[in-house]
Amino acid sequence: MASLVSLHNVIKRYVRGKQTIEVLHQLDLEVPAAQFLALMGPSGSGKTTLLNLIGGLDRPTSGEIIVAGEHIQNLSSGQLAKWRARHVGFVFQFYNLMPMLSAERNIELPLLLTSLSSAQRKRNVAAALELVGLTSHAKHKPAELSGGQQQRVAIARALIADPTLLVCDEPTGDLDRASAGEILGLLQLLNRDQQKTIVMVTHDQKAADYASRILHVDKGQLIEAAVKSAA
Amino acid sequence: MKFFRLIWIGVWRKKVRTIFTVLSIVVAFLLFGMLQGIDTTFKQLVNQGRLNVLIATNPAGLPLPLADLSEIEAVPGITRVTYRSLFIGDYQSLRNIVIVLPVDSDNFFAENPMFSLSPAVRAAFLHARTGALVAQSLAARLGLKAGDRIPIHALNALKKDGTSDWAFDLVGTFDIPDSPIRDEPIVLMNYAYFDTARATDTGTVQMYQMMIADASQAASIANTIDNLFANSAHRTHTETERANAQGQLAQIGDLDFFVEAIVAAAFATLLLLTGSTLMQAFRERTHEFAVMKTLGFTDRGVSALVVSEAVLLTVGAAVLGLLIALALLPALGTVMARVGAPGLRLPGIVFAIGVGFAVLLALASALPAAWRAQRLTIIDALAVR
Repeated sequence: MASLVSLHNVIKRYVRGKQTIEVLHQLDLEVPAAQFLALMGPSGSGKTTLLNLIGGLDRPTSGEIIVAGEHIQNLSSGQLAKWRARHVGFVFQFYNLMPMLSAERNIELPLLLTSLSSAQRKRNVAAALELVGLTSHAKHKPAELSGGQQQRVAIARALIADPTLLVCDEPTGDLDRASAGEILGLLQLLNRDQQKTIVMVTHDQKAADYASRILHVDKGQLIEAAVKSAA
Repeated sequence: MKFFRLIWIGVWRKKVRTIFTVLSIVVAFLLFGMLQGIDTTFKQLVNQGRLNVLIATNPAGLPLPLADLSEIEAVPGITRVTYRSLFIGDYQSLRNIVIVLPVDSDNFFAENPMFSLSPAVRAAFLHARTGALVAQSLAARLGLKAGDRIPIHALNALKKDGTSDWAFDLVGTFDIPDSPIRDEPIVLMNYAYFDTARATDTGTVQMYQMMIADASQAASIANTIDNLFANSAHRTHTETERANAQGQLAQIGDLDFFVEAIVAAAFATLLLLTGSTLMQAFRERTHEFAVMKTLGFTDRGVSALVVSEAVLLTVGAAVLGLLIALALLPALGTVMARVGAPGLRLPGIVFAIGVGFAVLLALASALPAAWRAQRLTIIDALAVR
């Protein structure tokens, strides 16, 4: 299957004071379309840095990152923002919802950047809410929702613009076991039924087990851990 | 429009803080509107002063002999001369203060065409020795009509009979359209009646008003008049009607300076207040802005949202303040007109300038927050919780 995400010789260095830290060392990665990839590794191993590079939130020091056919390291800040809006959905550990907006308004947020009419946006939001099982909570603000429900809203927001790639950073890190199971099941469903390509960072082996492929990031290098056949 | 809800919610994120900020802006622009309204009214009064009309008064404020009239009339370049006196009185009670102008009824209306009245009323006034004309607004307020006998108690015009009570036969009303003094409580009476009945300063006038043929000659004609009486006991100070109005305004003080100083101080304070409020609001929402950037909002887009919130907050509150000033000024003007002050209005241009100031204020106060919003990096902002 053709790669949706390709990284070639990617190096990422951070400068902290007088010290330069190389987080990723000449890293190569191919993620085929419709793959559910889990990135595991200890703290400071570079897995979130790698995720940020794939999602276009950060730029490599050198190397090439191609996502959905776009060499994203060459894009300007504005182009990269528009590219993210079109191609990437983000799910964070702490949900990162807008506290003043209701669930449906949070989900609608990425659609404000499209040319969809208000009626179309409303329809899409309703469909997304139904997908994550929160139709009855549309008007609730984040503070009125449980952690699991907030994460569902975040997933609906990530999916609303029908992105090519879903990037999840510890999506169950703040949830209890039952809620985590529901969220991971939902991600697995999206991968299996809607062929969404998912790259997920996790510490949790049980969470990683939901993925079709597991890679370990250790000291800025990737180690293939497991590849499962499609479920 | 689709971003309006987002902007609106951003503005009201901290309701109490927003309400206090809005109140500060409303008060500042109410102050701006009121002061500018007063200043503009006085400027309008000065600008309505004509350049082809000269006013001669005594520099010490003393009355001038009516006997000087013929000498003034003989000055080359003068086409017509009228004169008048003035006293303050009240009608029935001190709540109804009036300004009584004993006028030379033959020439007064010819030289002051802004006084609008029907020829019949004018003729009636001319032929009724004890006749009086009152401003339309005053007649309406006091319920006066032609044919009424109106007593006015003078505060500074004693009669020969030892009283200060003047009685007039109201022959009609006049109007001064488009003038700030339209609502002033003016009563016109015949000078001849005034002069024969008063106990003091008989044969004097408060001022001469001269129409000249060529406004460019105003200064030299004024000099000629003043030179005529330079060595007399009743020296004159002659100037154009506009300069005279300007001089009267200057007696209050440098109104422009006061208005500008107060408005500048209010706006400078407001700039600091809104600027710090917006920066505080920005700091509280750094994480949210980073999330928005993550979702695909561009640096400029987020920055524009910050500026839009500031514009909505500031301009909205400023318009509210100006609307209150718009409503209050005429009401205040009506009250002030009763004691002889010009009527007050907030001209459209002042309103527009106020809104312009509000936009500038919003842009200036939002600048630091907008700049930081634009430069905000997602990774750094998301790392801080």
